[in-house]
Amino acid sequence: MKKVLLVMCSLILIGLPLFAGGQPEEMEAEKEMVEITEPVTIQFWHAMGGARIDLIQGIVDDFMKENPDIKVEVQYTGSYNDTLNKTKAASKAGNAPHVFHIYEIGTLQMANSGIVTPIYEIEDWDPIDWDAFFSPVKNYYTIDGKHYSMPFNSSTPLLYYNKTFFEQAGLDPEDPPETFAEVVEYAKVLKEKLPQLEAPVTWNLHSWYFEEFHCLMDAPLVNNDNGRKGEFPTEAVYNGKAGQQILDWWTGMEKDGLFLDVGPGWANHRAAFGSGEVAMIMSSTSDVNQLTGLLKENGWEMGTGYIPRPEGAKGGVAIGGGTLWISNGHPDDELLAALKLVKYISSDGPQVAWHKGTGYFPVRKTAMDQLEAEGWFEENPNFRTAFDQLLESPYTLNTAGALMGVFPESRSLVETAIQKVYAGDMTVKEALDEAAEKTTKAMLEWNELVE
Amino acid sequence: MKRTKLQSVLLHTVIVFCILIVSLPVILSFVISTQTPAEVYSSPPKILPSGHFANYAAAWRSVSLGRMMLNSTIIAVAVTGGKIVFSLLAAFAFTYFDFKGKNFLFFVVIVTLLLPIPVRIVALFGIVSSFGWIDTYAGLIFPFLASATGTFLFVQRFRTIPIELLDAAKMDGCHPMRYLFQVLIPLSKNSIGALTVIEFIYIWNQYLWPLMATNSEHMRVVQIGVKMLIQAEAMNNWGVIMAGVMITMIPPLFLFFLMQESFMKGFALASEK
Amino acid sequence: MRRPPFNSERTKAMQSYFHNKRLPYVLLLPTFIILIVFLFYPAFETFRLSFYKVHPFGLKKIFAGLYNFTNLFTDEVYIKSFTTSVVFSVAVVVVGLSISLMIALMLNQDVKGIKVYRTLLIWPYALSPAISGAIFRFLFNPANGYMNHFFQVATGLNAEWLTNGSLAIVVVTVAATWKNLGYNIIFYLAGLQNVQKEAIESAAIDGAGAVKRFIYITFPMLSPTTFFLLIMNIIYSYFQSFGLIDVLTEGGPANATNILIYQLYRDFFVNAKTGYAAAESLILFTLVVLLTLVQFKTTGRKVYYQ
Repeated sequence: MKKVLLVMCSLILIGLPLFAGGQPEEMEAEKEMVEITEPVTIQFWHAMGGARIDLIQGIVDDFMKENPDIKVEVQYTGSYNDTLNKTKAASKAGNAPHVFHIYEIGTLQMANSGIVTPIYEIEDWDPIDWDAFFSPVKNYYTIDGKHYSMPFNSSTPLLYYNKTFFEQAGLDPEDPPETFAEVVEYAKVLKEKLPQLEAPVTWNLHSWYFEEFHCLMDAPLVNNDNGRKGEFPTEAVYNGKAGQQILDWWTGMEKDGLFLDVGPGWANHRAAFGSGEVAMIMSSTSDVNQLTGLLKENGWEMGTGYIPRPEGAKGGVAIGGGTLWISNGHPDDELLAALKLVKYISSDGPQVAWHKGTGYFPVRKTAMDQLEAEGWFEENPNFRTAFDQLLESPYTLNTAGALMGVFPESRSLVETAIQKVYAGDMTVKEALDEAAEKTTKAMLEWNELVE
Repeated sequence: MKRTKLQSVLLHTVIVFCILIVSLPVILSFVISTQTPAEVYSSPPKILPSGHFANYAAAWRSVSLGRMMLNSTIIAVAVTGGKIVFSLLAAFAFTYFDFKGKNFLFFVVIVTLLLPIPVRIVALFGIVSSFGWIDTYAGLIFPFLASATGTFLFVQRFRTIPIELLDAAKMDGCHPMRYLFQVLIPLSKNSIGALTVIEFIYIWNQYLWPLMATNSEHMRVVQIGVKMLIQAEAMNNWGVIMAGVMITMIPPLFLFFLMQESFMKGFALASEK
Repeated sequence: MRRPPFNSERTKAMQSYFHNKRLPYVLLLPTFIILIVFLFYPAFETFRLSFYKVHPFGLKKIFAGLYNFTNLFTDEVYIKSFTTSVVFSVAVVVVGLSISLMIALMLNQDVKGIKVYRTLLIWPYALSPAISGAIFRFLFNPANGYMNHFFQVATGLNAEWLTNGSLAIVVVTVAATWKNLGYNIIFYLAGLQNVQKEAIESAAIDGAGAVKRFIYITFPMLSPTTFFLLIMNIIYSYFQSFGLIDVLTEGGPANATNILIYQLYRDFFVNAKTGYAAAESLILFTLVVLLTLVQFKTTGRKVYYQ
């Protein structure tokens, strides 16, 4: 009898550590084995249209080849906004897509939406090597040190200029302007020497540039550490000195006829650049190929540079673009499949193809190494500029990008403010104050509902 | 009223001129739909059509226009049919029966003209979501099946039908439903035709609700397709967009031209019959 | 004064009915099920939500009384949206009805080929607001739109059609009016056919000129039609033009064409401010009801029924 007890106790003692942990990861390790045996189907909704639909389908097809037990139904569901709303509705009906694509500025909103599974909660099931990611890219989607969503398509703004026009105006085509003051200087020369231009400079009416200039100046858009440290922001501060300096320069150029107002949307400024109406634009780094092609058609050569900053500014750029979220309300094996999918999409092979096909940054440094080894940057020096701008950006809570639950609304307000200054209805300070006030109000309302 | 030859010619000229002005936007769009991107962007713009019909194929593929046409058709047919049936039944009830609350109920029906989609969309979205009908045909069809316009139109029509017919039918012991099917409906062909055109066009042209109630590419309707085309192609290919617009226009226009006799007659709400 | 729908003189004496007691309710059932589930319930629920602050994903609701309304009416963007809608609506109604009436008068003649002409003038009505928006967006495109070009050639000015606020409203109004011309013409034509020929001819014999005949006979006799079209065009401009705006200007530039329904869409779909959107729905509803009531009170009296 005593011997039996002894054996039983030893067995229990041996077996205990196996069960006492009670950690989800160990449970899921068993679930992971379940996942391998039972085929699952998951849905993936994205917001990349046009030729990118096929590109994404290709990536997904490759994923399915490598993971025969996972079937992915992928769909283009319209703009980021459409995709978000549709996901909301599907969530209400209980069938949200497993993976969905949202704009970067929706990060705080989504984290508090109640319909997502943040990556940090499940990433132990299939660990991700975050160190291989570009810092600005992974930092954007990190709140208080935790990863929430998977970066997908990342870009920054870039300065594009017409080298041929520079030459004609007597400017050095290999030396693009680097500071706010230099941009004005160059613009004046271009305006004088090339009177056929509609205006020397333009970019689309988008709050993104306003935000990026803040990053360059290492200035926050909102308080509470730009919303990055886990506490919701309670005040918009982009109407401070930094914001005013930016807009004084921006709208000042418009007033002096150095800057062409082409309105919002992504088509007009590209068209103006391509047709030679302007000599310099800012646009997304994902436009490199398209713009090079447009200029080439007219026999012009294109150059790129870092986006300009005020003299002495020491910050960097933040990424923009979109990210992949995993929804909740699904069984664990489906969640694991979703995790595998987003992990695959972020891996080097697909990311290199994605970059080549779209111009967005690959999200990992290792992918960049691969491109380098292929000689990609010799053939495409303009992409080199984009990458260098990204790599040289120091990490601060400001260059990580602001977090706001009401970001889309805030952007509208900023854009309206700029238009008001263009129209002469308000001064820069008045317009920014008004926009910031409204943003603050919206943020407080949001906080109240979400807390 | 007698008119001189000159006045006649003048009238014809003015009318033709008006027709040109009214049709001009569409004519120009058609021209663009046949041009290559280079021609579209040429300055001064070209007014004569080219032969670049590849635009149509491109529009078809770019946003799966074919699937969207199918969706729009299914929905339009279902809603139009449903509305006609529901309205006929309702108008029949209102005209040929005397029952408690008749005036009130009729008023309720007419009041719905003041409740177009935008006024109820916030909660409508919620309720359709909870049925699980977002992104389904049901969600795009059911909310539209009742029609105040149709009911009103048929009531007006039924009231012009001579009472003698009804009295004769009652004397014969005719069941009301038989009366509806064998007398009223045949006599209301033009109204039915008119309503078919109106409702088909109305539902084919719906934008806000399909925008919010559909998610997947395979459930989209054609009007959203137009917006999607613009988003996809506005950078440099208005020719393709206009080709898509042309394709989208065809079914309602086709129906309109086909049924226009009926349509016009159905609208002469007065005493001619 | 409300007119009871069924008891006009003629039919009171002459209407006879079937005697079934239950059948009418059964016949009305399908219509009313739809009306209750998809019209009345959502409408009431939307109005109820307008008194709450609502979490963007619906997780929470806080009762807020008139909070949403006071905020809207002190928000200058909303007020601007309000005035823009009114201006837009008035323009569409006035311009649309005038032009349609003129065309209808022309088409009401006994002319050869009138049927064909009629069809050819009405057909754009079959187009959707979205399509109208797409067409006009291209025509007034700054880079290569036809209208832009013709205008430049004609006047030497380069108008910023879609990037200047006031001009954008003009373009939007033109697009909306153009699309709805056919609808108005149809109804005016139908109405004109009701205008008794004898009245006109006797007036002509009495020596009244064409203009006088129009003012004193034709137009008053058209008043039911005008009345009806006023309401329909108002509803059209406030509600159905959403597609047109979304395709043509997306509410811009700088909210210049941000009519009430567009602002509602933005607040609901883009900003996820459900409470505000619901309040905006209620305001829109009230506005339309008021307008309709005003119509009834003022012109209703003058409406001449035969």
